[in-house]
Amino acid sequence: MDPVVQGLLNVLSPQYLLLMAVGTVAGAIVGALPGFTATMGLTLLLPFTFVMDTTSSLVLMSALHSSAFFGDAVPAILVATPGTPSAVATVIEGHQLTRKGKAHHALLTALLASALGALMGGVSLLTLAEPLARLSLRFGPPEVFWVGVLGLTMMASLTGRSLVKGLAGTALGLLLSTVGVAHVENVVRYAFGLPQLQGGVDLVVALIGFFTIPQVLAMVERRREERYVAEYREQRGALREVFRETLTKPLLLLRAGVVGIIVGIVPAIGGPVAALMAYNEAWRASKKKEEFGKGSIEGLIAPELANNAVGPADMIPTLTLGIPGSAPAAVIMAALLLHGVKPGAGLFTGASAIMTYTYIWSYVVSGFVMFVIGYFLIRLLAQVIRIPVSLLAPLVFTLAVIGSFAVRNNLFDVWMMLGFGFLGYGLRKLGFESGPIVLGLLLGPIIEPALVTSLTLAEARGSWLHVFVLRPFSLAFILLTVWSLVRGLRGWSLMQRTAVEAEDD
Amino acid sequence: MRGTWRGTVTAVLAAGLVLSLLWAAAGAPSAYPTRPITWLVAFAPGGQSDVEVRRVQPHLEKLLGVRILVEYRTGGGGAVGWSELARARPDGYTVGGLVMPHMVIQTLLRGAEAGYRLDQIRSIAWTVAAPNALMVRKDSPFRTLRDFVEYAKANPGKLAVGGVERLSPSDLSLAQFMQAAGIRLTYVPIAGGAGPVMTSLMGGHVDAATTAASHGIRYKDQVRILAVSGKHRLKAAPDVPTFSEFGYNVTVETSWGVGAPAGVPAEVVTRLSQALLQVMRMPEIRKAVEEEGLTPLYYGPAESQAYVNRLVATYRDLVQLLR
Amino acid sequence: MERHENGWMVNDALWGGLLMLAVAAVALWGAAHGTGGQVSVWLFPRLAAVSLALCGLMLVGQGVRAHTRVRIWQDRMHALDVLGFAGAVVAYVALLRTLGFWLVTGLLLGGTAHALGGGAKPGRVWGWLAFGIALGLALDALFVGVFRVPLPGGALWGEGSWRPWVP
Repeated sequence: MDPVVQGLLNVLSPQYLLLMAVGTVAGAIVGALPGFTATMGLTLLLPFTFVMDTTSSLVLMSALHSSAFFGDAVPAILVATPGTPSAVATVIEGHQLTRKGKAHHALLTALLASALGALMGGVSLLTLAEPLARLSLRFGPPEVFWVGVLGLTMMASLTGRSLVKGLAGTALGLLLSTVGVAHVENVVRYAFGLPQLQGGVDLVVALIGFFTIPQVLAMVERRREERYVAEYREQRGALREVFRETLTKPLLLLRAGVVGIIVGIVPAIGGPVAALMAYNEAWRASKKKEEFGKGSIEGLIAPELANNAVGPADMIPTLTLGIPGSAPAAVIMAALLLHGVKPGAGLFTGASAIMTYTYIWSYVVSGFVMFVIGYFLIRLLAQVIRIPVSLLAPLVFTLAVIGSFAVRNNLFDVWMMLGFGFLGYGLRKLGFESGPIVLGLLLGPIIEPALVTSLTLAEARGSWLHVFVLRPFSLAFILLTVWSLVRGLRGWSLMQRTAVEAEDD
Repeated sequence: MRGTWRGTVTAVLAAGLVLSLLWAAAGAPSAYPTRPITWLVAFAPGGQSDVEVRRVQPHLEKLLGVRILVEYRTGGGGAVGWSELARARPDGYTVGGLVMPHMVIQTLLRGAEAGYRLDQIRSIAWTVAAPNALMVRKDSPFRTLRDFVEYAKANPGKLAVGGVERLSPSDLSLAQFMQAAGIRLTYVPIAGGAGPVMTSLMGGHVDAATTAASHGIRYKDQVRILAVSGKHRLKAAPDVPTFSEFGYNVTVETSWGVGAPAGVPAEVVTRLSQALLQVMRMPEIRKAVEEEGLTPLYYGPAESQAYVNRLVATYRDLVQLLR
Repeated sequence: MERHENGWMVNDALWGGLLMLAVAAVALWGAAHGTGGQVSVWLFPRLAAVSLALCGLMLVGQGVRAHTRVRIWQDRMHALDVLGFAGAVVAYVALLRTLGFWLVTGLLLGGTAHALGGGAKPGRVWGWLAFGIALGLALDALFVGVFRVPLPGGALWGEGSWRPWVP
């Protein structure tokens, strides 16, 4: 039988569905705990896979990999803490929806969006692996540089009232990203004599700092007026409404999915950037821009879908070329190697074919499994809102401490998290949103090494123009950047005008 | 109302605590190791350091009878992980993966700032080594090293050779090669490890690449290895010549080993090194290692120290070459 | 900071801008005195710092010309709530190694729940503290025992080796 079909039948067998269920639950938990990433979950799983056969290991890992990017939306929505960096964009709209009493609704939307993302990513892995992998090879350092610059224009959707403050925030983030060992040279920057700063600013630590702590402090500040984060209202028929809202926006879904898949195959760029780009795309195309920042469903669907599409898309270069597209992909590839399987064209033909296709289908099916399991988990998780702020605030803080400690088992990281937290709170009061800062922090490590490498390349080729501009994909990204910049500015000024008009009313 | 549920929760948790304390009290110590061992990996998951741990982990766990908990401490080109290893308690329950020449280079480059000194870490065993390789794409006009050198002589600085960041084995071995052959190439440092270096090569963004030979073996369908460093040809690629066969003395190679904080008891060193070497000698492990383009090393505690000392001397001079 | 009937107000553009300038200055100083490396290492940070400085200047200009105002806190009560919690939280991290995760968490949970819960009766404190510590121990067991995060056990109590769930 055709291995593609065989793979599908395999994955639908009770044995593998059970494995997927286990992986899904594990992934959702790992994703939901701030400070724990999908990579960590996979490395915890790795020793267990030694006693299993290769296919089972892969199916288990794919389920975890997939559902981690739903799990991370849960704390993002409930308590404004991204469970993994990929949920950074989910916080923006998701938490606002919670404060409006629509937590259950938001969680269901995130679940559906994540499931759809996994489905789309899985399908791309299934059908377009070969061409997409070849495409990914065409992206060299100059292309990565321009995509990074494109990413900087996302600032427009994140900046709030003041464009200058958004620019400043982005520059601040870029600067913070340079702390530690320089990416390409072996030189330490801005360590000010502290050895702990050699490792630089960890992304997870910064995210918890810039998002969670300000939220916790705000919770405490409002505690006299709002004893609970939001009113808990049981919503009947929420599921039907979520389906209606989401499935009637095919363009939104398609855009977000494409962003996720493309970002997945571009080397060095990962989930968080995909989510932010998808968010920005949704914002740009939206006819209801004024809702953004106050609980826009579109702004919730797009990043959640994109960050789930990235996972399987990352596996495209990993399986076809043996080049891991991201940290979780690297762990999965290590698992493959240790089981004696070599990535490459050989995976898709011959003896390994059935195993490979079972694995690929498991990403597609993971969307469904995730949805079923997630639906029941959500009912449980939404109850968190019923904890009063007086207990919830310290509890969330405790989780923030655990999360920032768990990344590198370093107390210094906890101090850093706290420092960023106070800074973020203060900056927010002064009108600087955390979004642009985190954007800078994310893009710095992408743009700078790509820039340095491209500059060295230009030296060898003897021409800046040839390396930076006269390449088909670089050109495409440059044009995209210009377009994004223009549309971004227009969208922002439009938003300002409508906001001012609303105030005048 | 609130008082009662709080009281109940507290009581239940307290009871649970007492029970677990009682249960834990029933236990008896014995010879090393008696509890899980933490293994610090100084580089990112999925990288070669990680692969080396995972290779031995299941077998070691069986031999030693305890779990091995892998923890990642990335950053600083390995310095973050090794500083932590150096500062850990020397009781044998914290070990770390070592990589040469990275360990030496960090201390040479950054001195005290690196956060550790070589004498703070006791080498227990060195298990595999990978020579460095110079590679081009399969469709490249360069079929042998000689073609490459001829072109380089005629076009100084034009050839872009990608490698893993600066002051790495890639950089150093290329420098050795350039000096030995009297040519000028442009070294293009690429961030992110060997993966991006290989993609840059395969995607045509650089003309050649230099990194551990194991990567060339892994992608041998798309890549042609022109030469490898070291004294002997690779078992996995017997028709690839060494640089020395052309008269170029390129010696830089990467090796992986295991270490513990200095001061760790002798019985720990013996036990661990015995177990490690036993695992590495298992036929299926040896076969896998060779197939991946790596050379197995069987350096126990004594040879490890000598090995490290030799490398320190070599790299002290090499690093000067690049400065 | 000024105090109005409207709350504690501050010129956000001015102070924000000054803060940005300060950071940019530190960054540029660091770049100038940075250890070795080639010119390219400091290129990027310098670019970022200069952009930051320019934004800072623009903001300071805005602040001075337009006298922008933003409300930081509504009144003293709200400010104290936040500052009090912030202080508690700093103490938490400072005492984390000494007292151990389970204890500081217990104290924070119990203490905050009591202080902010509105039930300011003296006898209640101990109830909340006991509850907090029990919860702290449970969280410790979960994260250290199950998830294997080596949270500090408390230097005063022998690094927490008495915890039965430590692997």
